[in-house]
Amino acid sequence: MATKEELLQKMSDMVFEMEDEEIADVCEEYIEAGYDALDGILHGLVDGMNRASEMYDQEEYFVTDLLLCSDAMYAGLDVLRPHLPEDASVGEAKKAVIGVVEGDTHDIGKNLVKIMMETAGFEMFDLGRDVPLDSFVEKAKEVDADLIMMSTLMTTTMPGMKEVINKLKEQGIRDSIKVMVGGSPISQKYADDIGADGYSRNAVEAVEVAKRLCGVE
Amino acid sequence: MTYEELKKEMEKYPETMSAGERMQKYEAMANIFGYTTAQWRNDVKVHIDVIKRRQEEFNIGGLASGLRLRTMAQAVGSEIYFPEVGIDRVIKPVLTDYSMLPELMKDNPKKNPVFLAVLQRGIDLKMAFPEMGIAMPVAGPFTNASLIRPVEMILRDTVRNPEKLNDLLKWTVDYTIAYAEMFADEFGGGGCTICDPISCADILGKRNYRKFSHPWLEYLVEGLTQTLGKKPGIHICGKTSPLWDDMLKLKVSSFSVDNMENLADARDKMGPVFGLVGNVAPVDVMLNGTIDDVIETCKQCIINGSEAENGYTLGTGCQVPIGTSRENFDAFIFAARKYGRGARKGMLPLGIVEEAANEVVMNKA
Repeated sequence: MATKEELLQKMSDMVFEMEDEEIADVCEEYIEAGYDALDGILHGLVDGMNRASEMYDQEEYFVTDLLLCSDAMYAGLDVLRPHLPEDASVGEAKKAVIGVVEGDTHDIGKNLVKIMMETAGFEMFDLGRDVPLDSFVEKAKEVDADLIMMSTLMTTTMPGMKEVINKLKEQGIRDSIKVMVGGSPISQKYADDIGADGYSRNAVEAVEVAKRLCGVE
Repeated sequence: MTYEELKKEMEKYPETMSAGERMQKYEAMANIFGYTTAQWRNDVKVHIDVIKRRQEEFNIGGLASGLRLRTMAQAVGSEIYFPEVGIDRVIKPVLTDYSMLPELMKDNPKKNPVFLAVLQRGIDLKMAFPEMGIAMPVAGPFTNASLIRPVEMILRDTVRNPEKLNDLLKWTVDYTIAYAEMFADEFGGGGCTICDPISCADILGKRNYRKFSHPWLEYLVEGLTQTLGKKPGIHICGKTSPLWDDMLKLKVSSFSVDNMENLADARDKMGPVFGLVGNVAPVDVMLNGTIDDVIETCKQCIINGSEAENGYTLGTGCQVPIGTSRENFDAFIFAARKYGRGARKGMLPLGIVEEAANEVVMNKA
């Protein structure tokens, strides 16, 4: 029978190598052997995704690869999650509200950021695409979010990001919520101009910026 | 510099460029003339007025009648949203299951109502402006495929369904060339630009560009060249430098460099093979910059690009956004006239050389 370490390594490799079909069987085997589900997630699945991020940073992996790796990770999570003890919730995890701003439906970048943020342990609240500006603020208040992440591909919808920031100010909660923006037409300069706290060029970098803004190690 | 000062300065630099060297940005221009994007899109009289005023007020000519990024997707059944002001977007790509592809492929592009309407718009424009040349833009194969089938599925197809993906890509090229034939039958050929934003290195990566984009781009370029009698130009948005070694093998006439890339690097690497266009930042400079930002950026682009062996044309790094001000359009044209004066293929223009010489003289004095 495979040891815990062997199974964790196999899970990590399967995520890294985009094997989204057989990974469920390996996760089943891991659970049936009585090993801890949270360890399986963190040291198996997430480890594989982190290795994929490193390859992305080195420009060896691309968006396609990250998507396929995440398919494998989520296939594994479907098996492991139900075996987490009830009190093993994310607990101290930082919360982030994410969405594509109103008027825009391009969401592949946003989806990728969400995947990488979840991998890094953030609790994500995904509002989807074409999100009314008020919804960002309402959701952030509802879940007591640490971070709002907005994305757009269209120049015509960029000003919506500034409006969200203004709405946060109007409601007196701007100082308690960090704001990150991204998307093809967005730049660090634009982020600075509208008073956002952070900007990143891609999904892997977004996690680093988010961690820095939220004071996560 | 204020707009009033700019207008006075412009009088010192008369128009010297040909129509091919200018920006043809309909949506942003329509906006400047007080029309919404929908008015321009739906009413040929508005379209004609935009071209007329663009000629009168900016001295920019040239017509276009072709397949914009989402035209083929619309023609084969993807659901498109056309906002009153703004660029159209795909709401629901049609091909969610490859079993639907054979049925889609039965459509005859030469009888497709969307294609016929696009061609008719070209005929109407040409009738209104018989003296102007007409060109046709097309979307690249991978971009077309990504607007017909959801992009996340397409990206997964590169590993899970490569054969079906290749069938789809080949079909988009054949369908595009069918439009080029319609265009050539009507107008007798003309210039063409391939726009392929989804093929960029950021999304596709070098490996998949080589496997799925480049071969079909070659096939498209060959078909367009044969049909239209001229090599097309190409623009791929975003980061492309990892693809340049491969792109050099494309038999295109020009490469439009995105503002994400370094123009001087493109000049050294791509300049010996292609004419270059680019790469003033559309958002940070054209849309959100000041008059001085536009002028300075244009100047730097001319310095970095003009020594390209096969020629250089000042242009934006991507489409000029709707909402760009008249002042910034004028600043762009002013900078092109001032610094592009005395342009010589493969050399710095006299406008740049003389200013540098004057600065040296001033410093010595």
